[in-house]
Amino acid sequence: MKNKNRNSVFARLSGIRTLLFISIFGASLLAVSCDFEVTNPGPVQDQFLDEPEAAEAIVNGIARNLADALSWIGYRSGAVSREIHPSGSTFSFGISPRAQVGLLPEDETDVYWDFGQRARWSGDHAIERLQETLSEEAINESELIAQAYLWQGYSYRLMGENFCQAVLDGGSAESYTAFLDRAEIAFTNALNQAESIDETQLALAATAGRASVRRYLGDWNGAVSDAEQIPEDFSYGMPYNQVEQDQRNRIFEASADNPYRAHTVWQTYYEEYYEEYEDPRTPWGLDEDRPVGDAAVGDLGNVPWFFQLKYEGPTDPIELSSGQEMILIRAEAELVEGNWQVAMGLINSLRTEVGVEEWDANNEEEAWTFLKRERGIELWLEARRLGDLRLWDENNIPGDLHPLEEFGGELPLNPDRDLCFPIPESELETNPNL
Amino acid sequence: MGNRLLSTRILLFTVTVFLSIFTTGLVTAQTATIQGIIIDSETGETLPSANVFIEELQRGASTDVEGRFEITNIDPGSYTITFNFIGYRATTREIDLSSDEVLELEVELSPDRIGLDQVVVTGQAGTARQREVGSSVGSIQADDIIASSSNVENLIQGQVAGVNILQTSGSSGAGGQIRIRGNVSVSMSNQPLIYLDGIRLRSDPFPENVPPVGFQGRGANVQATPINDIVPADIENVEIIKGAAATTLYGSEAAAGVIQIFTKMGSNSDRPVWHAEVEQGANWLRPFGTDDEPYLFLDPWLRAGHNQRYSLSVRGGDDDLQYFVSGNVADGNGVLPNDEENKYAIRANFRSRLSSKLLLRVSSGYTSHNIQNTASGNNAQGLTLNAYRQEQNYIGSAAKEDIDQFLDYDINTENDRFILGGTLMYQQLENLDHEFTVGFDYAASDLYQFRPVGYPGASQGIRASQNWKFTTLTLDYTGIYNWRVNPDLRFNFAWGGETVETNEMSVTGHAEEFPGPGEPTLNSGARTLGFEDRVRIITGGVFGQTMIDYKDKYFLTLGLRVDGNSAFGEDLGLQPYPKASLSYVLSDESFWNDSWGSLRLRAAYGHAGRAPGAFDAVRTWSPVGWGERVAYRASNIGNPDLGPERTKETEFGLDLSTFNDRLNLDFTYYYQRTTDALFNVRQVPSLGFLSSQLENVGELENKGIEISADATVLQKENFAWILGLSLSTNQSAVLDLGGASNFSLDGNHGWIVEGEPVPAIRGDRITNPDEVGEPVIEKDHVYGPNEPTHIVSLRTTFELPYNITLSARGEFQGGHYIYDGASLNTLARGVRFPTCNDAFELLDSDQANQLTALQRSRCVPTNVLSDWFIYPADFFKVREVSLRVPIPVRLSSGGVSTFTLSARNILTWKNSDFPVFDPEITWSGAGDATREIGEHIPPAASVTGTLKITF
Repeated sequence: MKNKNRNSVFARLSGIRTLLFISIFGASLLAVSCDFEVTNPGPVQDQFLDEPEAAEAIVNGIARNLADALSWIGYRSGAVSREIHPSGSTFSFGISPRAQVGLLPEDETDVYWDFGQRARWSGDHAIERLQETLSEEAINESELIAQAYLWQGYSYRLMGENFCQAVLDGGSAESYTAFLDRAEIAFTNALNQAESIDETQLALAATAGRASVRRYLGDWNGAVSDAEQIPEDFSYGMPYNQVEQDQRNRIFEASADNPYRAHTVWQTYYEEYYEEYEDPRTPWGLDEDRPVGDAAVGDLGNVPWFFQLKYEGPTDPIELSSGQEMILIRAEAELVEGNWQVAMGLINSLRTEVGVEEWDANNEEEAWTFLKRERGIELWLEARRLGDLRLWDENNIPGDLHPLEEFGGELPLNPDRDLCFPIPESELETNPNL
Repeated sequence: MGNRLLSTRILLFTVTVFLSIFTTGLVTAQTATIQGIIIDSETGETLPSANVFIEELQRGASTDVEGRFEITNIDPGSYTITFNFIGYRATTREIDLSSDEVLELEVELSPDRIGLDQVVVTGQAGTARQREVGSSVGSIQADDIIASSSNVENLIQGQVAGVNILQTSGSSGAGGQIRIRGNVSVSMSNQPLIYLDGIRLRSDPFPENVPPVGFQGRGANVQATPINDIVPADIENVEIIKGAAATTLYGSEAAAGVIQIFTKMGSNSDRPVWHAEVEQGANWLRPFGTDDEPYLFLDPWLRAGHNQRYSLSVRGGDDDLQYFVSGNVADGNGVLPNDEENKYAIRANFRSRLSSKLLLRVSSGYTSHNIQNTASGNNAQGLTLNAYRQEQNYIGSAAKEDIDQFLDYDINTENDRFILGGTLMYQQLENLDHEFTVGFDYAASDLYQFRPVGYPGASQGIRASQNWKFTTLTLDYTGIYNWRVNPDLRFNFAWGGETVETNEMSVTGHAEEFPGPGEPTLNSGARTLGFEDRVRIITGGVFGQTMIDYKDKYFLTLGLRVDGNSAFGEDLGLQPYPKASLSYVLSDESFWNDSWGSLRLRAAYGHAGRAPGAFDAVRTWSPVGWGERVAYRASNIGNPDLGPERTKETEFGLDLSTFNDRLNLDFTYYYQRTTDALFNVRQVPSLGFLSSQLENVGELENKGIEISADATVLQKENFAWILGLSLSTNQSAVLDLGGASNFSLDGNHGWIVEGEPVPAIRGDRITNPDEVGEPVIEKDHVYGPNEPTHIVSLRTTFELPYNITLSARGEFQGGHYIYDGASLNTLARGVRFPTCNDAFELLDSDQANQLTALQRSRCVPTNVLSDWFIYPADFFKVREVSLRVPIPVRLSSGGVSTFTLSARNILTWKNSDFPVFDPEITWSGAGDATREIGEHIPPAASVTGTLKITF
């Protein structure tokens, strides 16, 4: 009887233990299984950008994106316009075989378009976001807004001068002038904002940027009006940084002894020009211990490595606007009006300033030739040459290009050479409106 | 916050376990003993390590080296005892024990070629007999493999149809790519999940040793794989669960299959059993170039490397505690001058009976794996690239003394691995069991590399140092209730839950510009950078499964797992994964004539998933530098509906053993369809976000057959000849891109294109390659898949007199294509690469007009495009030839000694259109999304001699 009672008690206890066990287990299982909320550090979540403290980094983002785009487009456009000549690495930090002969195929140019689009889009986004998240008073007093408009303007100018067509925000293809129209608006906004807060440097940069855009759009009155406001010694550039390779001036980096000697001034117009004139605007050098580029260039084998010295280090800025460019805009406007002697005076004023022999033109066509030369010299390796070649070609502007620039030398340019970057595969294959 | 949550979880789990223990009855005294011997019914040989199990008491023992067993302290009563051993049919005995009785048993086990009664772990729901499982389970017994395996990938390679292990390079420490039934994902990892003794391990490769900034090829372009941290000598067996139909209960990360590794356990024997192995070997490269340049100019730097390995283990125990303890030391030189690796590993496994109802099993292991590499691969500052490119290299010289400068590049990787897990098995009732598992996998890498002052391309010196850590914490519970309704009908219910938390942490330093020679640290550099990443992911799920067993020959299994994951989008709920399977042992029917052998039919259907990465669902911005200032850059556009991709698999098959078990055949047809496939959908660049966004938009399929056949061709008293064949096919296709545009997986020729294989090799094609004249180009031609479509493994074993065994295994892989970037890079730069020697002769003699279309495209630098270097990648390799000879030395009764001579990769055949290099070279290692040839070296050939002594 006693045992029976004990068994009964144990049986009941066993049932309770089982129940207890399952309950505790169930509770712990739920506790460990149902919490999936994790916030990992690192990438910044979108809503954090609405905080006022994020404003500066948002605007810096436009600059970083523009710096990258300028560096990449400047390097590749410099290669196909023969401001530089390939001397080594073919892919990484190098110039592809097709670019070596002046071609910019759509299956090889994603990165230039993508970086340029990111820069101009981040400008649009930054301004929209800051307008939504900052108070009206803060906006009115904001240097950041002026700076954002300025970077936005330069981003659109870079795209407009270098690409064959424009695409905005996933839309359909339109004339490249759509980029330039937006650049003009952005520069105007930057100018207005900078003037309202007395930021002279920003205002001058915006005015100079707008002058260059108006020149490209053929608004010569507007261009000259803006250009005349810019002091001759004015300069506004995009800074680069040595912190990491991605932030360095790519044109310098690709021609530096370390790690690549990927391009040379050999077989470009600037090789012989510098030898003849020693113009400080187009310096290059050679190293007897490193006579050739870092790798072979197609059939040519190893070619002489004459390294550019315009950029002497990875942090050297790439100029975006300058007083000298403004003088050349005014000179070009005079040429358009047929005042070639006045134009030559302006051109030669630049040459005198840097201490090189003046050009001597005998007629309008020669004056155009010298303008083309002088823009190449003044804006060398600043991502401007390809746009100039396209503009003059489209408008049948008289005056000759140098043969090495027009046809190439030891490595001839393809007769179907490109004068602008196409809409590449990355956009063509993703944008349903194309 | 995260640590506190983790601690809370461990505490809760521990409390649960201990409460379970204390709410359970305690041990009572036992008085009877059973003992005996287990022998092979055909040969009469004793069977060491066979299992004896008392069903009612859930107690058991293993046989010792002489095939004997003993279980003491058994209460008087009636019991059912099961005897089983891998490769043999299980048998049961009903016994009655009285007080103080010592029952002596002699049990014969019959070989079971198709393993109907072999116990396998098929999912989370405990163990099952093979006959109950509706899906194909690959099983490898380590002792059955004659060749010595230097790592686990070698052990598995070619053993199971449908499981492909491709090597990646001949550099030290290079791990392989494991693919089970092809690729089920185009965006996420296709490496299968790996479990060791029930503990989830990291599956993906260790990080690559590269600097955090600049070109990502600055290193050796190899990756070690975590599975190779496990020492083959410690492994008892491996089970491979191939597809979603079988892996459902593993949930959201199991679509690529599961590899279960089981290490050795102790046995209750009268004395400890020691096992020692000593191995010496050499490895070298076989020619991979042309007849003129068999090593493509790399000869001066190649060497024969020496490898050695020593291991010692002991296993033993009694009825209450069994143990297995081992230690392994291995080191070796690679074929490249700086390549070295050494590995130290220890393992301690215990199994302890805490009470009559509680069994605790503990598995623990530590591995230290140090690797030194030569800079190689697509690395402009590496040895191989500069050797292949001769005078057109980055120092403009082909002289050995100049290229030797690249040997000053130090690349060191130190991997530490600690794996600890415990499983508490609690038999609450005679037919109600619970298993609790806690597992912890700690994988850490110290990766550092240094280019000294004066190094070509980095004249001021560069140093990078990364500390990386990855932990996986697994908490797992399974309950099993076995309900026999009547002698013919039985239900087996299983339920449980699992939570897996992974934490990845990486801190990297980078320094440049050092003051001068010497061995600096990061802070010696004039410019330094720091990087930090921390990612935590939690996956959790609950599952239930019912198996209905009718007459022990009809089996129906139904199961469901429901999962959540911290990487799912916020709008996505829990994800259910169902499964169902049927197994029918036809040969158990009354009409079946036993002389026909045994036959089982099976079918299975199930779902499994693959979760996205930690940040994929969220819109994010990257903090990037702009000089000294911080800047925000658009990164990931985000997708709140993001969820796992879901693979649904159907498979049918049969297992047949006939002709007196001399022919064994395993056939499976499978069809997998991955819906909601995660595609890295390219974003429209003009909308600002350049990074691709993972979206559940795609649909993929994989289908194929797997045949595994083994035949005993000849069987004499002292001679047997066994032939084996495995054939697996895999046809994959992208069924739907879901509106996304075609996209490249690797930035080169590995593409995802609707209607084409996963991935497809796509590029322009020359349609008239052998014609003298200009090439005719077909744009965007799809050559074929990047993964092999046919894999055939042939094996043969001769059992010779005096127990000498000779075995060989060869493997053919074919139907796939590969892009050779290394040849492209030489010929684009005007290197006189030997593949173009004929063309160069014509060019040198001004006969350029005699060049064929292919020669014009490949051999004239200005015409060179990557598209002209896509080859068919079919190959056959003799993977292994082994001779095992018993040594007539017995250090103890029942002891065994053997000497095995093994050769690997000693012969390679390649498709005639595959000119140079090797189809088993990858660009940067095991983690590559596609296979493509970089400036690397092929996997090495090797010969090893292994002495094994058991005493």
